[in-house]
Amino acid sequence: MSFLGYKKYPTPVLRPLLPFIGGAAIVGYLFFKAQDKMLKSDTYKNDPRNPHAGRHLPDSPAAERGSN
Amino acid sequence: MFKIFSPLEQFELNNYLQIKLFDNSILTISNFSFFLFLTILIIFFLFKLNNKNIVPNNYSYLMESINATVINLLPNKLIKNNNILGKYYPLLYTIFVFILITNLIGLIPYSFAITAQLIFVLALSLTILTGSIILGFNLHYFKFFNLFVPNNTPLFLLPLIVIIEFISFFARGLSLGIRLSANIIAGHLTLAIIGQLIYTFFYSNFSLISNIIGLLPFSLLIAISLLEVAISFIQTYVFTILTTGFISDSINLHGE
Repeated sequence: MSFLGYKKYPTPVLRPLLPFIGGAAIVGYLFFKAQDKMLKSDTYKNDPRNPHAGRHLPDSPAAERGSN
Repeated sequence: MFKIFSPLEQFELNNYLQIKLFDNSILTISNFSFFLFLTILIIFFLFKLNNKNIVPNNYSYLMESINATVINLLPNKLIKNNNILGKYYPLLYTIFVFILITNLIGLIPYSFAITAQLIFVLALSLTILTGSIILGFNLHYFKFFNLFVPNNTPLFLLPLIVIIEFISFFARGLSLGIRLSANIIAGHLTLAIIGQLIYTFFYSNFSLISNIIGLLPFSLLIAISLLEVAISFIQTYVFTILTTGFISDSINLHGE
């Protein structure tokens, strides 16, 4: 960020982080999938805290287009 | 009669703003995301070295001491040999500073403790675990599975030991997140419960004796608040040092 007035040092920052970025992508995908499943489950689909409560959530945008 | 509030209310997520996106999903700005952005802003604007001055001021010394604390977590022999673990210092410093600042912000009365949300801390620890597995496979390919076979294991015990080591590896990743979250939740719950007790002593019965007795839990509250500050630092240190252990295990397996 030399444009903010900081000095540039040749420390490799991004390359060592690549495995952890990959790990974050895998964990993020799994957690969002689990969240989606919980939102659509019978226990929580009519919960007042659920922002999608009372709405029919399609499994995918393609399925929604197919129903019309 | 007065209302008793649940001490678990302080951990509830409250939605401030909900924006509908084009694909039926909803972008929510809650107290969690608000305090997350606040933490990032504080770290971004507060944590910097005084590069423009030749003579460091006291603030530079503070930043340098935090740097020294984190760099001393890395085992000395690995830095001297090939400095491969030193490449992960920016990650370790970021984890240390982020968890420290979130823990300390959570201690401010009427704020929100981000690290008390188990799902967030668990996602962080599982990311570190998955990242260290990917790193291990990248460096050692299938020799990474040597990590599950301790040195000098008798052959007849090998299947059992491998299963136990496999389970313990993943249990370590889970415990990394649960440890931090459980400590913060327990501390905040204790503070809330003692606060309710003090409120009961001072406001339920307006007598001098109950007010004097109420000073006891008040002093306990002050002591536990100081303990919570210490726990914030300790848990940050423990999280970072265990992250170092994960990365070091992936790089070095059994010290080969």
